Amino acid sequence: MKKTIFLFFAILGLSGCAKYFSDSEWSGTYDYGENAGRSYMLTVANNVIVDNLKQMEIALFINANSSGTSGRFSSTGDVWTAGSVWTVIEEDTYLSGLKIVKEAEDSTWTLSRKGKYPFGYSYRYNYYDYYSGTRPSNYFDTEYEMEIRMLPDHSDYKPADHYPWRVKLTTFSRTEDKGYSSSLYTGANHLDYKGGTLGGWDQCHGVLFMEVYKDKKIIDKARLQLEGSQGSGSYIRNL
Amino acid sequence: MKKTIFIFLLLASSGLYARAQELKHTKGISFNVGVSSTLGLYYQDHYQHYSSSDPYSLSGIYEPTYEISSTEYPVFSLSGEYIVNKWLGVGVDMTYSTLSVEKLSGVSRMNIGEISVKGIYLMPSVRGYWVNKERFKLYSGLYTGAMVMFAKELENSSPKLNFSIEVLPIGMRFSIAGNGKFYGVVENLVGSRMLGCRVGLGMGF
Repeated sequence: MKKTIFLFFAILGLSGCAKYFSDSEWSGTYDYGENAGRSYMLTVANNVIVDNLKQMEIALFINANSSGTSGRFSSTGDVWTAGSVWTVIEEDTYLSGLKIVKEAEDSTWTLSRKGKYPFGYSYRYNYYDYYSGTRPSNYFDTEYEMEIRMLPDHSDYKPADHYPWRVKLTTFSRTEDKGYSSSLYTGANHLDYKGGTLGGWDQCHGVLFMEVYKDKKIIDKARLQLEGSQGSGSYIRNL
Repeated sequence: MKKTIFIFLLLASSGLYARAQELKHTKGISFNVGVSSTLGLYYQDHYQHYSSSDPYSLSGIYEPTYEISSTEYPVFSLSGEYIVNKWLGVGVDMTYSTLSVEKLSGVSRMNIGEISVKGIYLMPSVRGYWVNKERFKLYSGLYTGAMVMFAKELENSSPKLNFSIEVLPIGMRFSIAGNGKFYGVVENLVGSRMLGCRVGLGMGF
């Protein structure tokens, strides 16, 4: 009988251990929040800015090949001439309305747009096949302005299709659902886009900042240091 | 699984009258209170909306991001049992279990909501006796049945029906008074209702 009682309490004790292990699963913390915003910031760096730079390069291509504006842009003159404004007029694009403004006789332009903009979709671009893919659905009001500067290309092998660019994101505000909005900027810093092939640039260096608002009150701040290849970079929250 | 249960029940019925007459208080009803509910695990399996996220929208990033802090309450059961013979018994349990879940923002760690989870179980059982004396019984068993879970939250309150199974590795029933007419129960349970133990008071007749 003593053995039986001992066995009884031994098994009872083991069940306590089982509960301990199950507890560790149940009350665990979901660490997604630690990286909240990282993908969002990468989307701005790797998709939004990249898509706008591609529009710039399409404008340069069209301008260089004297093919007019191809029905894609309206323009007030040569894209290299100070004061010229090129505007995306093609309807079937989320960049419709994008303005490319040449402020002075140098290698800088200002790109700006105000309107709906989708996130999370990657479009195939080249100079001849502008739009491809399913039309996105998560449009939110987005307003941005970036100053872009064409950098001298010192690479041994010049990518066939892309120039190196330095981008200062001076304004980026996006108003989303449930009271959320975001503001991104490079501040005194900038983002450099280099290298790459037809699909896009494969190098992005620089710093991007983000502030997140809920009902117009700031709830988060983050800094993303981009360190080269797409998707890599150190991310710090709650600055 | 169905075949196993059927065999158990067949064995139970075959020995129905075998030695029951030698045993007293072969029918019993008890009220039990247990700890270490597994309702949280069920809740986690069936209401994982907090783990979904959309990295391309701010609400998708910030709102699903929360930690959960749960408060468990005792698991209450009403158990009926019938001792078929010296080796075998059958029974049924009706169980009520509840859990309170507090959602904490992954950003501010502030409370952003509460979820009340309730589980109701109906579980027939079969048990084998290692020791089956008038004043003391030692047994193991198996419960199978169904549970209905309700998670009350603003956007998600639909009940979920689940199969439930539980092993009773070891249990003890001992007489308190009347040579086993009034008895106490201590049981170890591992399965759909709890990973722990429960105690109870019962009456045999």
